[in-house]
Amino acid sequence: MEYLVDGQAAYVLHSRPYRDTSLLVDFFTLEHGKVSVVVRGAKRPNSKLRPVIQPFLPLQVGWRGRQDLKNLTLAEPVDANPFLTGTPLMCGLYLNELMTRLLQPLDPHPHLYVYYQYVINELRSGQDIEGALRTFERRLLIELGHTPDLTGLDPDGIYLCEPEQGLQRIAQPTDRNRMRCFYGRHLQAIEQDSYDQPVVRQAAKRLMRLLIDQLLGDKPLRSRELFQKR
Amino acid sequence: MSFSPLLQQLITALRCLPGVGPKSAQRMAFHLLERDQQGALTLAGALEQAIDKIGRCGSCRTLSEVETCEICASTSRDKGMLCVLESPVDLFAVEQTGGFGGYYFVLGGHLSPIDGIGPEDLGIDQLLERLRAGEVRELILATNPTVEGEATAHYIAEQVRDLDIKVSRIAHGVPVGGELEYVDGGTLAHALAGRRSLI
Repeated sequence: MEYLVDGQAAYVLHSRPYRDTSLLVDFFTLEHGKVSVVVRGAKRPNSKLRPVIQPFLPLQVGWRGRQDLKNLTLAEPVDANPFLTGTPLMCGLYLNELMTRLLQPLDPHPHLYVYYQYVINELRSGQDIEGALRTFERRLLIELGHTPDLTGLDPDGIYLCEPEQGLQRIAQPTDRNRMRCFYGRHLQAIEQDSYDQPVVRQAAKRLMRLLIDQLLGDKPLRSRELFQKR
Repeated sequence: MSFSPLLQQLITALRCLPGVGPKSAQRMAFHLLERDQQGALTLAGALEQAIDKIGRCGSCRTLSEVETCEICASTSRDKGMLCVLESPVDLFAVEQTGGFGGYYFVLGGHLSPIDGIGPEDLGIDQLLERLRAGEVRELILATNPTVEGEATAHYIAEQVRDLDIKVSRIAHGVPVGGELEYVDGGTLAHALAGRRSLI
């Protein structure tokens, strides 16, 4: 691992207090994947870094250090964007929780970075949030090697998605596995990231959730609570 | 050279304070023992009493040693206004400005899914119960202008959508006496997005 990294495109995934005045920040970077960096003095009242170290802002960062924990040397916003607000903000928090939970430190995913950029821009413009989320989730699962092969399916076939076993064609869904069954044509649309039809969106949401939940194990995502009404 | 066990214990205990490292803890310990034993006893007594007696106000969740804090018990305030804050320190900050005459509700943090802080940790059910009682006309969401604070405000706003209550968010922008030149881009973008018409 290099000692000094400079001018790295990055997004903040999460930050938490570290010592009295510092922050420990998880960045998602273009070339190094998820990196934990100490940002000294970021909690001081007049810190210049405070407004910069914010999630969903495209940044240029630099750090030094050979150990797991790096020290920040530079952080500059690429452009000044206002915060996400409302539902897009909640979706953003969901994405960041997903990334924090599923990515391994210092495991580079440059393709995923481009998709992350895309989904954040979609959240900002608010055009097709759901499609963008599903596209990103699928890319994340591909990067993690946890997606069944969606090519060469019969459009009219019914497929059952079981943990660890991939897709199996079945004749009829039963009441027990109905939530894990998908039409071939919906899976084909998902494979092409084409989410124009509401039924495909619903199928994609169900499929992604199924696959993501398998990866997460028995600790569910907390950000899903934010979408529930009390 | 090592200190005697009790002295070492005192030094370690003092280090729980924010901003106190090994050296300052050592200085404090020697000061208390050598120069100000009376002060040390007063400090010990005050600490013990505070920890023992100070709890949360049953109505607004701020720090208080009585069941209902002074502000909540006051009858001269405007019952129609409720200001939601992240921490008791924020309450003191707002209260010191003297510009707010309503009541408060302290969440004790903000929503942060990654840290495992959800709505039930912030007493949001208690807040909703109070709002459903019907006295509050305006809910002011004064959580911090951070991503988590913003998410908390949005979450609460969504929960009270069906109730007939005006929900507002505190403004954020250029500080008083500040100069645009020195304001960071994010704040400036906010200030422009949240501009108000003058006439």
